[in-house]
Amino acid sequence: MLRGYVDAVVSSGFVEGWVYDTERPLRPLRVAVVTQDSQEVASGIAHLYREDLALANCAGGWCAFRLRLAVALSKLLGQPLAILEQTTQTRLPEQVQVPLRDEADTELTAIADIIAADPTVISSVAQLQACEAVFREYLKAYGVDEFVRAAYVYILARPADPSGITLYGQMIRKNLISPFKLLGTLADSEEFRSRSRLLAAPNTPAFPFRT
Amino acid sequence: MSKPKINLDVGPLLDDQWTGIPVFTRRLAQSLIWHGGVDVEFCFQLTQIPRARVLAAIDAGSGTVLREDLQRLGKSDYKIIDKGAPMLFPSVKNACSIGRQEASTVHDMSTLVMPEVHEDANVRHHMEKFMSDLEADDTVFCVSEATKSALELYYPSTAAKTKLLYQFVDWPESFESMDRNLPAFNLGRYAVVVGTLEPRKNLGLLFRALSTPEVRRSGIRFVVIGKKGWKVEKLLSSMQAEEYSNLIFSGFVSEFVKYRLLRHAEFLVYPSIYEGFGIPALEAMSFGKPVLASMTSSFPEVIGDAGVYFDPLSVSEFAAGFAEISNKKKQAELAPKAIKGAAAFNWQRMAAPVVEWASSLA
Amino acid sequence: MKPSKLGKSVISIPAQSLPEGDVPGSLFDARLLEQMLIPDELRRAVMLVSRLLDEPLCLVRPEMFTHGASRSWLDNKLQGVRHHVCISDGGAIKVISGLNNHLFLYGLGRHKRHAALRNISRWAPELFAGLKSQINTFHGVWVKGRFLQPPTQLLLPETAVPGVNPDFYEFYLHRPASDEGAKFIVDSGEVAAPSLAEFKEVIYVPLTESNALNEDFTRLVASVVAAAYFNPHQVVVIRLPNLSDTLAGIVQRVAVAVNALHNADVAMPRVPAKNVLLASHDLPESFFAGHEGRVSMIFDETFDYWQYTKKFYALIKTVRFLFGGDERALQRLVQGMTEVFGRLPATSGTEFGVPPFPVTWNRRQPELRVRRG
Repeated sequence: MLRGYVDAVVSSGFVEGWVYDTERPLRPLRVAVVTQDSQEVASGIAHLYREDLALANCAGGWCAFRLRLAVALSKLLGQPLAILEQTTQTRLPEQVQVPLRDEADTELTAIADIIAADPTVISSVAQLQACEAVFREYLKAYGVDEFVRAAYVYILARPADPSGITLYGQMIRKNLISPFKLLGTLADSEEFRSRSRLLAAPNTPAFPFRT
Repeated sequence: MSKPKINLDVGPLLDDQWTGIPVFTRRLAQSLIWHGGVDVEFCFQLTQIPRARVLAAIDAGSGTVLREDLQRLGKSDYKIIDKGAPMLFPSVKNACSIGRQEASTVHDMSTLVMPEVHEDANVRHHMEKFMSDLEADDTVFCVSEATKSALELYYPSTAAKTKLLYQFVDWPESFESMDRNLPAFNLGRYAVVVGTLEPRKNLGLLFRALSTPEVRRSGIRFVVIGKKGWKVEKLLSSMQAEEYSNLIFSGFVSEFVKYRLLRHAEFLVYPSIYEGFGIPALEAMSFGKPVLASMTSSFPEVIGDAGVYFDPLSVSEFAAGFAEISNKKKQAELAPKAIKGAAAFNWQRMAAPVVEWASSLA
Repeated sequence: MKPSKLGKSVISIPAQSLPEGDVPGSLFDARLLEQMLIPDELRRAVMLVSRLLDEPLCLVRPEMFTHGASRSWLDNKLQGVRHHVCISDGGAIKVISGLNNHLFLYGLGRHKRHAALRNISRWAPELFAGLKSQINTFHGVWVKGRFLQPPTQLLLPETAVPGVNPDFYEFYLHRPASDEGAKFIVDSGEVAAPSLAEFKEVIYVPLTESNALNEDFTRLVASVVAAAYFNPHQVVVIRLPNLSDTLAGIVQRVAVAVNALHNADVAMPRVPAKNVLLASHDLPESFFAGHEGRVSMIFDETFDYWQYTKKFYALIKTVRFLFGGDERALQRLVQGMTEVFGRLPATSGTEFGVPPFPVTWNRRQPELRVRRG
């Protein structure tokens, strides 16, 4: 089932919101924002991270969109807008009044900012905190040992050693460590910190915990 | 009539992060599947790997899961390969010949002609079995005419069985809309310098050229994509800070960030002294960006008339080439040539020689 | 084996020997090398080879110019050039298609280079078939059951190459051999150069890092050293090896020499030898001036023998050459060295049937007479 909302039209020329499929929350959706007469005003992918969505348990926070407007802002003011999921052509209910938010036009002027804006990787393991439900689903579907293996593959890019599977498997079974905490532990390790690796964002195919 | 069958060794796909040869292998696998002219079975060290697992790895863009799966004890769903089908290695062989027809792929001859830029262990790894592998090959694929020429110069007996196998550039479909929807960036005028920071990439020439009037006065910065590493630190430590103030080091970035940086650059700077193919050039060209390139090895063949060339050991020639390519008019003139040049390398062209080879053996 | 002048030519040298940033481009007048900071052994090689060439050009990396536009670029600049001399330290051998390719090997005394050459011979033997000649070496390879040995041209300096006398240290075999022993030798201080007039025989052994690893060679040298302890009329001078680690200091070089002789397992007194000396670098010809008739040398194919003149070799008493190459290459080696030394060998070297092949040229053997008429 699709859940989503258009949060605002932004004066710098974007439309913001969020949308996800409750049955497959980490599958990023190709979306368009359309007017009442189905004119497309913006399109893209709903795969950005927002902390408020994480706190609200919406796809672990990884379902936001911010799409550049393809039409003049003035043409949208006061217009009802709806989210259209482009693969299934499912249209969410129209929103009659989408607020306008004032925002200065920003450009990224430093490489660090360009890198920080990269939606395909996470900037810290903390951004996975709200994915606990996803991890639990994975545990349920594939078992504890498989989760530990996937955790090693994801964080350390190598097969888990048998002792790791045994130790962490036991800890998870005894609720001594949550799945998210295990990822944090591995990310805190000297092994991880000594190699520069980018960790795939949860809504990319390289994230191994998608069911 | 049934299609000819081949075994494609996907050993390079077992790497965690894919650059260079793993990406070549991924493109080769996809080209052959899309072409449909051969029945491709995937394998590693004579073990057949289910197609679904390879496609999942391709989807994920990483081989860690695949590698982990292969290393598990007690997995019962792997089989041995069909020995009767010809075997294609996308790089050096990792399995001994077992009397069937096979082909390997030579990417470049640098371990023979410039071993000093490689670790000794790497040279030995590549060269120990190289000659015997060539002898056992029914066909030897070369990733460029440059590599083919070099191979035939040092191994004249291979001349009758070498074939070209060109790769192509592809970007995930989603990258275009992702880039469009992110805040624009403004780094001023800049050119991209791509590649790992190793000796044959010749970054020393670029660093020496920073103080030439042509470069200093241009207002153009250089975004160097890749980890800085101690060798670059050493180079920089011998320079004044203001000399390299127009260098920006990105560090290790994702494929998407690389896409963005290339797409919005004015041109690519590629001062390598030797390359087997030079995929970064094609990546830049796919955006209509011309390339300031060394007159060496495969560059003229891949870049064609979308490039401005210079002697890779001449700072003055680099500076002159830089002055030429930083002219907006010149960039506009070269842009359509770059697009056309990149489009000439495509998946059909990559699959064709392999399909032809497999068909000739069927 | 007389060298033929090659006319307008291009040379290539190991690119990593050039100071980065000092070259004006990929191709330049080879005379500019005289002003560049390059290793002495390479400089010697370039100066020697240049005698065969008219207005040589230097091409830094031939491998860049494989075909097509890059090759056209090179061809345009190489107008009239028909020969290419690859001056190689064994690490890589470069050839340029369409030109007559010649090979000049130097510095094989460093073990890594010698090993690299052996590797290339195994990994890419076909490239030797494309060589028009090799200069001063007698290298051969097997390709599909056929022995390939490019013809050898001999090229030695016409006049003695000037040089300075080395530093000398007294030899002392510390057992068990250790780096402390080497440090002891160096810390004991340099000694005066031997006065050759005081000795009836002078045995000069240029030790290399490569032959220091050759048990047969070191056993021979150790035997000579042991004998010298009991023969005060003899002086043995061992030139310390230059090492693959170019930053290695004198202590490390002494350690390699002493450890090599220790491992030869030849008994010798544990006292410093006043008539067995270690020399820090090559002895110039001038060192032996007037005493050549009492000089014997022991070396192998890893020594750059071509730094001395034919005149010098004609005067010295004995040369013992331990050839570690293929037996098929031995014949040409003997032929070539006979021409260099100006006399026939006393032994053919094949008595034992397996390498290394010891070949000796003595003063008392019949000299080569050139037939006239």
